[in-house]
Amino acid sequence: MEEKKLRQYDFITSIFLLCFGVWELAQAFKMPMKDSYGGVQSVWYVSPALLPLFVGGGILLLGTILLINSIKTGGAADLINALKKGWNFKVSTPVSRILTVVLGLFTLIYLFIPRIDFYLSLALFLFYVCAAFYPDNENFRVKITIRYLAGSLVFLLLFISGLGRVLQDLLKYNLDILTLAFIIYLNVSARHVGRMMAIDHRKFRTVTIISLVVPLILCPLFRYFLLVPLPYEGGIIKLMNLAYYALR
Amino acid sequence: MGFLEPLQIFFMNIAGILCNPVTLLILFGSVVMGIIFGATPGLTATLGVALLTTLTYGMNASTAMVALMGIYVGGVYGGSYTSILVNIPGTAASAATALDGYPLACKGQAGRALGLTTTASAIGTFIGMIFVVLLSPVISALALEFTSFEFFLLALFGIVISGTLTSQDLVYKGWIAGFIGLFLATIGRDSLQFFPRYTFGMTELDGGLDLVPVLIGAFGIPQIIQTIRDNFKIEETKKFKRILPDFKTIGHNVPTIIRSSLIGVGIGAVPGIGEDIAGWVSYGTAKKTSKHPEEFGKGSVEAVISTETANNSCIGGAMIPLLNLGIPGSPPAAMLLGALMLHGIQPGPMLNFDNPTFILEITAILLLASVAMWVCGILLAKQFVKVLRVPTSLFMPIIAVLCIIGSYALGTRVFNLYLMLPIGIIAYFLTEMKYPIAPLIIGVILGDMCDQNLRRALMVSQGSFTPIFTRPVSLVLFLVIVVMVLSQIPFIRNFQVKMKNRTLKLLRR
Amino acid sequence: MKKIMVLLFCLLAAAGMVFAEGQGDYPERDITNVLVWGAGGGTDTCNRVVMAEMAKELGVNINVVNKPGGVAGSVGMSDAFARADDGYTICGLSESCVTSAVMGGFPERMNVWDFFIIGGSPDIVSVTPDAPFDTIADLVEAAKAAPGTIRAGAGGAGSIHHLNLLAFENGTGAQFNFIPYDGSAPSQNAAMTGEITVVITSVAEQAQLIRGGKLKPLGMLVPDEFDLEGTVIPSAFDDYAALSEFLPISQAIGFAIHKTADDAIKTKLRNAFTVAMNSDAVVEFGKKNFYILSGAYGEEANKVFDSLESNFAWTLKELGAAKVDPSSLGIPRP
Repeated sequence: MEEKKLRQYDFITSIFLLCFGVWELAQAFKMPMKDSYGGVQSVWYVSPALLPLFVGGGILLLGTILLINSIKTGGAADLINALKKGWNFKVSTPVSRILTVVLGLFTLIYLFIPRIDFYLSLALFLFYVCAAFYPDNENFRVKITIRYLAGSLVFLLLFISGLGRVLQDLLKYNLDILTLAFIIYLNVSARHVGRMMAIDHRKFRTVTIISLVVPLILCPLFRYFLLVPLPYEGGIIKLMNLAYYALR
Repeated sequence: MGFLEPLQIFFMNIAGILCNPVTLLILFGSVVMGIIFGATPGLTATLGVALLTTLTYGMNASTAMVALMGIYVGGVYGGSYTSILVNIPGTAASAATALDGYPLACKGQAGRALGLTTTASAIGTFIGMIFVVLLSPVISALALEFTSFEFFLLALFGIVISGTLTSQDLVYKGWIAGFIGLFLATIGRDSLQFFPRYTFGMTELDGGLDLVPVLIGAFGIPQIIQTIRDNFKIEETKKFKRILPDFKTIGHNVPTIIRSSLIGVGIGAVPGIGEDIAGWVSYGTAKKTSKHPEEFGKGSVEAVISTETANNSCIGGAMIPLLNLGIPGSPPAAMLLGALMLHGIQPGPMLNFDNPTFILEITAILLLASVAMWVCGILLAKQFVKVLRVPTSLFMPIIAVLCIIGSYALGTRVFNLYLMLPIGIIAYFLTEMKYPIAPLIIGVILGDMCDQNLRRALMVSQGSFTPIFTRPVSLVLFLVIVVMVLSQIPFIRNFQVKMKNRTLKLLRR
Repeated sequence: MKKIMVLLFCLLAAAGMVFAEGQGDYPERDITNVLVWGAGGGTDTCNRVVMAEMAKELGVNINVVNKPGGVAGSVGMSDAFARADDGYTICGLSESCVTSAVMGGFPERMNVWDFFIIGGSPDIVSVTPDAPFDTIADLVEAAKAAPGTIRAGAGGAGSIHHLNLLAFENGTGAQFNFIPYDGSAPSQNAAMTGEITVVITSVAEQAQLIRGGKLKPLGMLVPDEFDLEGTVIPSAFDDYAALSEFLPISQAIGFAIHKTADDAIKTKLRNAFTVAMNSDAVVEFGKKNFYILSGAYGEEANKVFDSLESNFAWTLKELGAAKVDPSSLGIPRP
């Protein structure tokens, strides 16, 4: 980031820091400063508030220095001018690339991992992110992101409405099957869109292989070798269990 | 302990590792992984250590250390591959190597250059190791002088160092990052009175933040986002046939090697400046003292040897404060400290009481790691270079998955993932605004130590600060801290930038 | 495309098999021991030694998975508790876990578990070698003469050693200046540097230091004397009979399964446990590491944990460190 932009951002950060410092201090003053707590006679110097007070004070001080600096160097004025002109809502390519990968991570961590079979969650994430970036075609990335977003919204609705629960009661692995269907849909539609954009179909083959093989290595490695119970063990992990106990 | 007993323990450890095929496999495996992590731009030794911490958690502490030291040594060395072959430093530590390594590769001497860096790195690691053995007893002799006051001052020293790890932008941005780290360290029930601080009533936060998700989030996520954002691609690498150790050239450059490794150890031992600075300083010194300074920048063998020896001997240097004082001097060392604490080993002055043979174990591992690195480097370099052909758009999502499973596996808590992503995104923004991340990590690691030791010390002294001035070790530590704080205020610009400018100036001359 | 369809078909077919998963005799697959403390600690090593012996008896592997974190091991306990009561998940724990409920980490009382107690190491009062006390009476008299000035360390606040210190104070009338540390090892280190004078931790933890002459043992906090490789350490009860009202509060390392688990499963585990506890490996391990082995299970073990729970919970309440009122959980006063 260039110097001028940095000073503008400093202005915003300093405001955040000041608010944060005030909040931190406010919380610290609520901590016990006298009387006995936890079997220890509390005086100011043994209070749990000691470090928070120091940190809060430090952040306030540094935030103020940052604020003064950004005003002095004109960063604050630049920012206010830019704001007056109105926000420029155009999303540049790098920013939209960031949003794509963050969307993938976000849905994976908050939506799929806690509720869907771990293997399928990882496979879905890998397919989406690899397919979005590997063909190196911005239009394609946008298209597949829209499809992925739509699918994720369907899952979100399922979870929020409680319909997912109902489906699970009906048949234990319904949601896993649904996720599998989503992966297949994404795969098929990616190939379809890719053909229209004249993207080499071998790229999708690579992406498919990666998305299926990487979790296939990682899940057993952690489940059986490192003995880590996976976050949600649905149908596929159950299958692995069966295979593992049959083979052993 | 007499003179012979440590030697005996040392060789017993070496024999123990060599005779056990599993540890041997782990040693070579982790060195290979380290080289790949080091060679790949966008992945660092730090992230490698972070990811491996999870994988080695189930092992016993010494086996885990074999793996972690292996990946550390391999990672620092691996950076030279991309520096020489593509002119893109795989890690910051090997940035100086690119100046002369790439011209050498252009002349068709890539194999020779890689052979030289491999041998130089191995020798550098070895010399670093010797210093760990020599200096550790000196520091640990003072161990019984360390009470709560000294521990508090040590932690404070570590945190003050975060000021020296400043960004290229405003100096105090390092401090801000450090304070944010300290804040993260206060989350959870405090360890003296169990008072819940900043837990928002969430029981998941009662135990404090787990270190690994914070580390992986803060280092891994920003790298993934940056690499994907910039659509990073590696150009065709320079071809080379075979790697030659070229002992003759090494023999001619013995003075350079010795000087560079001394520089490396010295810089590594000063907390706060790491492998990358060691490379630059050593490069500058080598040029100044060289008989052929005009060759520097055009493919000087001496330059390549000097930088690679220095950055690898820095590992040994960095282990000295890490093991004996519990202060991490560089980001990978901070990771190692976290990993050690997870295994129930608290590095610091008391290490010699809790685990009397641990330092010798580490040195034995360092020696073996440098040998393993040399063997792998000479035999397998061609295979490593193939990894560079995997496009980042396929590589980075896999790394993302590794980060996720890594931060989950240690505590097996999905909650850790919920924490990791926001921390990662905040760390990305901080990195973008030129805040250094290492102080944040140091704050998280040392925050609790600083907090509880200060309060305990005051509890013992009934609220009086006078012991700081009456106890010899704490007085020295206090003076060092004061000097450090004072010296940072006038020399606003940080050491790193100054050093780089100085070397660049030298180059232009 | 075709390949994917074939793959899908295979998956569906295999999914059918999952439902057909048969129910054989317990145990037919590996058992997981979710251990609430980190690798390498006392609870961890004890559990691993016993699990290895039990695995031989049961004919399946028992995998010990460390799941530390939360307050008083709440993360691991909650995780083990959330799993089915089919006997394939057991929870490795120790006495300190009983505070989890009052600390707000675990929503249930300890009586949801069925315990197996491996054993524990008794607590001991030691002083620094240069301290002017040679017997427990010297120490208590000095502490009574100047209440609250002699510095004592005993692990963290609310730990088993802290409870022992409090009981020691109550039973003798002495008063110390309690300095909390992160655990036993740091408090013992502090004794070596002279920061504290008195240290109360377990014999297992102090054995090395006592043998090396770095700590001077004064008395055991159990009714019996203890023979530490030739050095006989007297019981503090000899001089202060009143201690028996408050002590012993001893360590209890072990594991637990759901109380709701099938009786057949419990019997299988209990038999294997008894065999394991009598095996040479476990007996040898106990002797070498100064553990007093127990081998209690069922009612007997549950009673021990009940009394530990009420003792810990109400002590914490008195110290003001309890987040949840023990009476609201239905924990009786000791």
